[in-house]
Amino acid sequence: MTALEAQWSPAKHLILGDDPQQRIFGEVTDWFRKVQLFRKQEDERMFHREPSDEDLTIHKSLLQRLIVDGEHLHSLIRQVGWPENNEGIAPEAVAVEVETLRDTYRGWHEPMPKGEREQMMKEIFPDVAKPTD
Amino acid sequence: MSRSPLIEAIHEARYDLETCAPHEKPELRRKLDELIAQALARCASKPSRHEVLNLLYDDYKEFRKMKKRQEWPKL
Repeated sequence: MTALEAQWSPAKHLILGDDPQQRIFGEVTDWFRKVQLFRKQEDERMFHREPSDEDLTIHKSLLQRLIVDGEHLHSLIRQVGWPENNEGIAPEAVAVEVETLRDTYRGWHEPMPKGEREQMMKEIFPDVAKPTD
Repeated sequence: MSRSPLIEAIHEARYDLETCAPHEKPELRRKLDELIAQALARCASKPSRHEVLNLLYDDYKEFRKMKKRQEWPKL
């Protein structure tokens, strides 16, 4: 370690940890566990019963948080890199999951207007398109 | 529920992507994208993938309910 590196060492250790890639990997696996729990509760509260207004509010805020956290983790991966891991998780998995969460957000909280939906349905799936309520 | 095999396949692929392990995400995303590309191949205007998924979301909700009902007998 050079003298300059030694001077930076306390801040570097505090901010990045001993092994920045392993640290990010741990944070990413924790995030995936949060998403998994979210999906389980979403299944129970949103799909298998009619969600209340409060369900929708909580669902929206949890999704927003998971998306922001995922975007942050993805930017950290770009910055510090990604370790080889026994789980076989590629860094791309984080970006894929963020986009999947965004798709869920749009589906529940930014639904396509009825007229636009009918028009697009006719274009893409003409065999099943029918007016919607 | 949708009556199109392609829509059913998109719903299945979307469900698999949402519920799979992290290491499977990229491959299952590619599978979903391929199905969406199939749907768009016969469409003059080219909506984005997220517009197609949004278009189908109400139907996807019904698919998820049906999925749960299919699981009940196994319990």
